[in-house]
Amino acid sequence: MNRSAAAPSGVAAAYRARAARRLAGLGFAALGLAVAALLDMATGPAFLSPSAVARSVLRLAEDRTIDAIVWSIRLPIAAIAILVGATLGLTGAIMQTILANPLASSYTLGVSAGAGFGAALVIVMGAALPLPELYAVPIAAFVFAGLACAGVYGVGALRGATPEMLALAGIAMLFLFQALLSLLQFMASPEALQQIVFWLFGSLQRATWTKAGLILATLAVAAPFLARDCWRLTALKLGDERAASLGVDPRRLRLRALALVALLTGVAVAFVGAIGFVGLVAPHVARMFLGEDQRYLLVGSALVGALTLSLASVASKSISPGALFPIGIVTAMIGVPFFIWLILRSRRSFW
Amino acid sequence: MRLAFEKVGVGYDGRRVVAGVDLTIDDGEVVALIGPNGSGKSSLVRAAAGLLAHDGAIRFGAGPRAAARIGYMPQDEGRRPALTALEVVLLGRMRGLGFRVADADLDAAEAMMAELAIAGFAERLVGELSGGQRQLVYLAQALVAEPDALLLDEPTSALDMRHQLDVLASVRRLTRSRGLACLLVLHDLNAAARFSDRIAVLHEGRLACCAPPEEALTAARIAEVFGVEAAIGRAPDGRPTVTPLAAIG
Repeated sequence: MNRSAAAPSGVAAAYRARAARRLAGLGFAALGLAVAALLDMATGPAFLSPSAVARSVLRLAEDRTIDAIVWSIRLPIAAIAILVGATLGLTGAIMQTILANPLASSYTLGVSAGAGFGAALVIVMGAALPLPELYAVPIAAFVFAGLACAGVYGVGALRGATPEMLALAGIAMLFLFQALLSLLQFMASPEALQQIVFWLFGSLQRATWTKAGLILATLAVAAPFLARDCWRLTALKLGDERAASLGVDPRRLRLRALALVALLTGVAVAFVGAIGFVGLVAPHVARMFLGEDQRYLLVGSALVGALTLSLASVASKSISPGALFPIGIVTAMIGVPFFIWLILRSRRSFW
Repeated sequence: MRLAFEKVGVGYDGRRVVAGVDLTIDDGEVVALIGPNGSGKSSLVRAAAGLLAHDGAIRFGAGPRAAARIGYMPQDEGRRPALTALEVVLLGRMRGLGFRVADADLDAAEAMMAELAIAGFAERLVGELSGGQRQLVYLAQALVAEPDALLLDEPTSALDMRHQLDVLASVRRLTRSRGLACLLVLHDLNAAARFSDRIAVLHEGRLACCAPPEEALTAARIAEVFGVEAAIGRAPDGRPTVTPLAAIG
């Protein structure tokens, strides 16, 4: 087919140009993320100059004090902020796609609540468990995130696993686990209660390299599955019937995707506590700039999520010097006005 | 490619919605499927598209359905994703799409859009298009995988006259030029008469007739199937026109 004769408008060329613009956008977000991470590492009880931090991270200069602070404290925190933010943004995008619902995210549909309940259960049971709490909390959070996802799919599948039924089942899970969590808080000792509340605020301070490695490994496990399914996920945006006619099995795709969401959310929430908002909003921001092609949207949502949490980490350390604001609160306090502004200024319909 | 239904029945939720349908559509032939709401039109088309279990046989060409490529266009579900028209058309070739979109796929999508005269808004979001333009985009999606048969479920519902003409004329032209078997669910009997070679009338899940428009659309049949008293006229091209007059009973 002679391209110039078939379409003088250069449809294919315009598509390639759009793809290039989107890649540039992703690159720009990655650059912003690098800057935010640098700022994140520079802020703290002792303010370090960003250039000194950069030199230390890149091993360009030897300064024992700076190296000690950066490598043993700030770099793990910055890495966890990036990885957890990316995970939350990614899971939010996946859930919004498979549930065809702009309000979907691990937080709004009970998966995070499940993880929170699991963590609280361990905190309340405390010494009665055979495992030390350090390991038991994340394991329980992970297991209950999985249970919540199983609940979403199990209840939703009773009526055909349609997006509406799954979203309703998710809301039901949210209320169920919140009620169970309240029950635990009601019964807990004052010490345990304080610990639960702190955990629920979300915190990056317990970051270690091991945790960062585990989250990275989880993302690495999920990536090939998502890369394989990204066209199917894009097709699902056209509706189940059209997707099915293009060769997608919507039910199995939803099941696969939800399994990944359980894994990713469980690991992320287990290590830093419940951080809402990022998973809900990062995909919307990414969608405004990148559209609905999931090859870009999933990567973009992860980058925006990482950027958001990095900036929130900076803010949590800067609001009152010396004190540390819980990052879950900061994220929402700063993020919500920004998000509303973004919705209002966007002329295109983005959902 | 020839599309043949042999004693096809469809049932779900313990309800029989289509029974004993025998129907053959030849290469390059447009058959319009008409019938009242709930007569089983969509079920029959969805069975042919492989989305609904059925008994009897549905054959494409000499072989079974699995071997054939089918372009299926369901009723508009009302989704308006933030995808451009071109991205929607490209999804029609999803089975072969790599992570990086190949030039061959882009060229095919571009050529298809040019053929339907919609290349001009390839970069617009589908949600921002008019209803008629959007239907043409989905038609391009159904055709871009070079199907052997085309199954369209109410492709012109909610379209104005001009866009109905655009869509149905394109469907008929492409059916002829590519030698497709085309089954078209329509509610508008005049459009069915104007653009189809034969009209299949479905009544309570059974095929009441399948014949050229002037034979299929008689006052007696419309009274029996739709429960409507109608005046049958003649268009300048000799095809029948249907004017509903009153409900019967």
